[in-house]
Amino acid sequence: MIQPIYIIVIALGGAFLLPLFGESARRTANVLFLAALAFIALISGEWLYRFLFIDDTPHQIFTAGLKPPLSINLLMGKEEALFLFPIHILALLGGLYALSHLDEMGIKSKALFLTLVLGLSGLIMTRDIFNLFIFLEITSISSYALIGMDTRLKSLSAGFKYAVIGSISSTFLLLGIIFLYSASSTLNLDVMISALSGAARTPLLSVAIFLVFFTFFIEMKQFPVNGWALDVYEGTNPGVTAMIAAGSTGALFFAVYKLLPLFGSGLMMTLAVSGITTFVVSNLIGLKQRAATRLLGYSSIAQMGLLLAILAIGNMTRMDRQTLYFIIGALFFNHFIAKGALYWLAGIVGRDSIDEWKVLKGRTWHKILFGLLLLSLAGFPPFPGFWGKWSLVMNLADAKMFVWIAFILLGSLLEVVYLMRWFGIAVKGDVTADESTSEWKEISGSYGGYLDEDGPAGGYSDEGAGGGQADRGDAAGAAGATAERSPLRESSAAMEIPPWVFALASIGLGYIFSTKLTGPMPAFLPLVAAAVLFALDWLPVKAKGLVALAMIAWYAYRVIPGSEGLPLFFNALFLGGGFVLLMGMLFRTARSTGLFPLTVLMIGSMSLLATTQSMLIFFFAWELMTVSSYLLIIRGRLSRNAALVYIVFSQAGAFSMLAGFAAAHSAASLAAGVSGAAGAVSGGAGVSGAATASGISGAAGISAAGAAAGAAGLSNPSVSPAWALSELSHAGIYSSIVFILVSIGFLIKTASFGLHIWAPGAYAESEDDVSPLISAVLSKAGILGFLALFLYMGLNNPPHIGSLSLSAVIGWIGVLTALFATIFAVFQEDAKKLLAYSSVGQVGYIVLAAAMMSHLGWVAALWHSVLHLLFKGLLFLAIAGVVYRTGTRNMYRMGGLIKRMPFSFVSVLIGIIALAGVPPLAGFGSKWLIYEALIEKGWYLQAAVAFFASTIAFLYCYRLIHSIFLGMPKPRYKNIKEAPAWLLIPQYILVLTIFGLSAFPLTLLKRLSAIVSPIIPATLNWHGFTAVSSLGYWNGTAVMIVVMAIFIIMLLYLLLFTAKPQKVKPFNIVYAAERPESPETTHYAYNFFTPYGRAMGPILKPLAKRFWSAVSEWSHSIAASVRHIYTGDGQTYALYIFIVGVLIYFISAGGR
Amino acid sequence: MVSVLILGFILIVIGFWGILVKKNMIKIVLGIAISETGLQLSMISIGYIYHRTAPILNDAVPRSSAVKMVVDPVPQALVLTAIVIGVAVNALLLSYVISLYKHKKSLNISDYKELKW
Repeated sequence: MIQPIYIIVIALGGAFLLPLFGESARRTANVLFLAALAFIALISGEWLYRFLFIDDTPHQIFTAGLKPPLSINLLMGKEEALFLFPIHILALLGGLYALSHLDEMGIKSKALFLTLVLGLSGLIMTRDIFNLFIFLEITSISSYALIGMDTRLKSLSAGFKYAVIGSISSTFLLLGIIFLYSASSTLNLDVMISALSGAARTPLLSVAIFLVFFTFFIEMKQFPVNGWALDVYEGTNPGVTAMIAAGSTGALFFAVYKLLPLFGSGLMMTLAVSGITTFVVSNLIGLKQRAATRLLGYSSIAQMGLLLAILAIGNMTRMDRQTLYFIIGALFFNHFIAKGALYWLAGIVGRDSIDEWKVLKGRTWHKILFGLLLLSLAGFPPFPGFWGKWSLVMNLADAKMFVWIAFILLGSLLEVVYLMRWFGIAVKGDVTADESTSEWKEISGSYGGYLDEDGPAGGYSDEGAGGGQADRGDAAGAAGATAERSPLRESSAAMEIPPWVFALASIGLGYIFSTKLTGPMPAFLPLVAAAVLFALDWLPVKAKGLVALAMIAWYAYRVIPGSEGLPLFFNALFLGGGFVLLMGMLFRTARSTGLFPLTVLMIGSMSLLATTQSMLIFFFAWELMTVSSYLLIIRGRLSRNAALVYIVFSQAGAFSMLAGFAAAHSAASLAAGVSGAAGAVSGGAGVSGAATASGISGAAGISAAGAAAGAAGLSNPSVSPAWALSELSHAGIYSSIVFILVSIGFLIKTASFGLHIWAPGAYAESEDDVSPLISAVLSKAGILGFLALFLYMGLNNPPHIGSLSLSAVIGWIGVLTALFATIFAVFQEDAKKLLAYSSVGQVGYIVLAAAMMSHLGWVAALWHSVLHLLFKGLLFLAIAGVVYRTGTRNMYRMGGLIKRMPFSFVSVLIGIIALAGVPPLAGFGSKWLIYEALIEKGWYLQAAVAFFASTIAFLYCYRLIHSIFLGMPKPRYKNIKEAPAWLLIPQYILVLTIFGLSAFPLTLLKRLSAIVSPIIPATLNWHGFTAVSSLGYWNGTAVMIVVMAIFIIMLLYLLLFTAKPQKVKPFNIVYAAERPESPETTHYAYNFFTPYGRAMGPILKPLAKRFWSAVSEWSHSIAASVRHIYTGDGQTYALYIFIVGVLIYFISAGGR
Repeated sequence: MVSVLILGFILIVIGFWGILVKKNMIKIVLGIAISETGLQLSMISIGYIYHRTAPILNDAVPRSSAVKMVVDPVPQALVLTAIVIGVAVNALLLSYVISLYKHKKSLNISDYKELKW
């Protein structure tokens, strides 16, 4: 083992040695510089290895061979090594990255870089409070100097503010230290803490402690004394900022951790409150920030606030050490890696404003890197932050700290907004507000003023005007984008490699952290599949598609035979539906990097959702599904805003769900504690050593929960042993709130009434061959969620608020969604938006059916899920073909395509017949089942509304076929071709399936009934080919035979007995006085349902849109006013320090 | 020695007052220097014990009885370090002022507000 003191020796020695080399020997100096950094990293790495795998007794170092208090002592323990090693790696990579910048500033800057590393290492290792001061000063002075050597004005002014504030805070620290010394007559931290722990708190002592506390309050950049830090983050060279934002902050955080026992309980609360405040406020202000590095600064400050708060809360609630370390480790390293690498990337991009990051357009690798880092920062799986956040929220819930959870989730959501907005800008470039038809513009960058109120019939811009079919082929087509590349800053491999190392490290760490929670897990399988597909990117696009298909088929073969009941149903739905709809993507010819990996990832995570038995993996899969679908949606040409709205709503839903899970978890562990099974359940989410070792305690918890569920009378053999959300059945006193919170998540995913505004944009703006998947398959995840939720919370005793049954509320939301979405669909000019609204409405029916919680209702829900997947997939695919050929989505621009695209016409025809629920197709079965169920349940009013809605659906169905395929063909599309074969093949698979199901509905219906009947006693019976309910019967086969017979008779009659028809040319008609010049005048398609629009005027107001616009506008306005406290004047910042210091002192009464 | 402590505090307050009130950046740096001086005075006063001598081992202070004869040497060592650090920081701050002045020909701190919000 190399003594840790050599870390200091090497850094110091290197710093002294380097200036001896003149500029002429720069190469040698650089080698020496990097070698020193590498050797330092090697030392801490070696120690870390020892602590992790060999022996974790800490190693004390005493200088001058004396024991404390006479000597200065350093400590190298596991925790120290855990912080030191990453910081040293950061320094090594950061040194490599910043080499060219340091070269510019001269050789002394490298010496300063080494002293910075020295200061950071000392901050972590020292156990002497005065030395802490020294190392803090070394860190600060070398930072000031590094910043100041860069003589740009903004760097200088930031550095000056930093130095002034740093000097003030070091005055506080020194004053505090000297008083502490006089009270304890030692400078050794451990001796001091034990000496002071029993001592009475004199006023002098509490002032002393407060001064030390407040120094770190400033140094950790707590709100509002952090303006200087923001300026530093913004003004400094990104290579240096990465060291400060990730490295210094990390070392300081560790220093706070060491000092924590000194602060005492009163200051703990202060720290927790200020940390959370900083987290929320910084993320709020981030909404308004457009400067990239400053935005990262806000995020950085927010994350540090959160970490401090966790540290304080963990101490206040006496959280289990292992758990606390897990949470802090996951969140800290997540931030450390992402922030360091993002600053590096910011340096490579070299653009100040996030709006200019559109230069990334066409740079696939940079985009991928940026995406990985941002997703990691935002806490998406599989990155460490995800596991940390889960564990944090669960443990806070155990401590009943629900308000804290709410604030943490709120702050995280705000962070998602600005990070993902930035991502959208970087990958999509400019999408002006009127170009996009997003439903929620405020949030996506155009502030101020209301959304231009395009009533549903309002004028959409003619986006397709110039867009021939050529540029519609593939939005990601790299070729076009490469042409408009503008150069980034000169970047060498030395600059490109470090961020990639960090990004990959983050994924690896994510896996390591996940194994601590769940044991070695198969849940990474979808990710692995996506990675493999991504590695195959060099293959031709069709080959990649076939590999993707093979993967899904193989996965289905592995998963489906072993499952039964609802998991089987949903697996079949997701995998089967995904398989067929993925075939449509094979029509592509462009490279389409990332398309197949993301699709497979989405389908795989949905299957995981259906299969998993643990709440954690459920949430993991849910988030993975969200993020992969987000990335799929953002591939669309104009989808930037739509994708942003989608991810924001989805995350809001996911956080709501997480809060619900947390409440249930807290109630469950409470209950388990009472019944004596505490270990099993609470260990599930905790990280006690046992859980890690065995890796199966999660499963143990679940089987315990399953057993308890059985005891409670919820025996459900079809979902044995337990499905993902079984823990919710223990929600006990929290059941209403849990039910509401979790429902919100699923309501958002199903795009229910009021929460739907993400859906039309997301469904319509994603690429044409992706829309079918998103709309037909993805929305079923919400249905899965609802069924799982009802299974454990609704069936026997649905939660109530007063006398209001919450499941009835969900039912009403479902039926209202059906009604309003249908009405909105009628007035769309855009074919894909029409289908999108229709999709929202149809899913509303499914929600309604599921909410009935009757046998018939559930069978209806499952049946309609299948049917909706079939016909909506079919319609979207058919429209994809049409849009591909015509280059527009506006239906009024089409017309008369029946001759040119007969196969697509048949597809749409079958699709709308199935959708409209007209016999003989199976859609009728849906209607029959839903109405029967509604009447059986006694929900007559809902039945009436649903009936009304389904009548309106005829209007848009007609519109679809009329406007696109009937009437006069436009001259422009005279020579248009049929849709590509690869789009038609899946369509006809779907058509055949629809026919099969229509002719023999019982093959499926019986199975669905068998799935539901173990859960809810059956009320549906069979006689031969006839389904019999308590109210009536349906024989799909007979209906099919009758209709077919009539159809054939009519056809024969027409063919045989009518006079020979005469074919007419489109303009072969003569009016009284004039003849039409163009097809438009004879084919009336624009603003088709205006009369109905007038009649329905009042209910067509986009109230939901306006509401969410107002929410967004208000939060941006608040952010805009709050951020004015950061005036930019160093003196104001100093003033805040004194005001805030005095205030906090009196509020916390000096820590007593 | 209480008087030294009080003097030290007064100097700290004066220094802080200078930081908060003076717009001239050089005066702000001077304010920092003054508060540091005050801080150093108060630090020494903490370690002082009446009727004792300086902690230097020589003929007047035999090694065996030194503990009972000298004042606490630790604060003095600390002050030395603090002075060194203070000098370094002040020098850096002044060089910042010079570099800033080169850019804008102004010493008013309020003129350097490019980075804000």
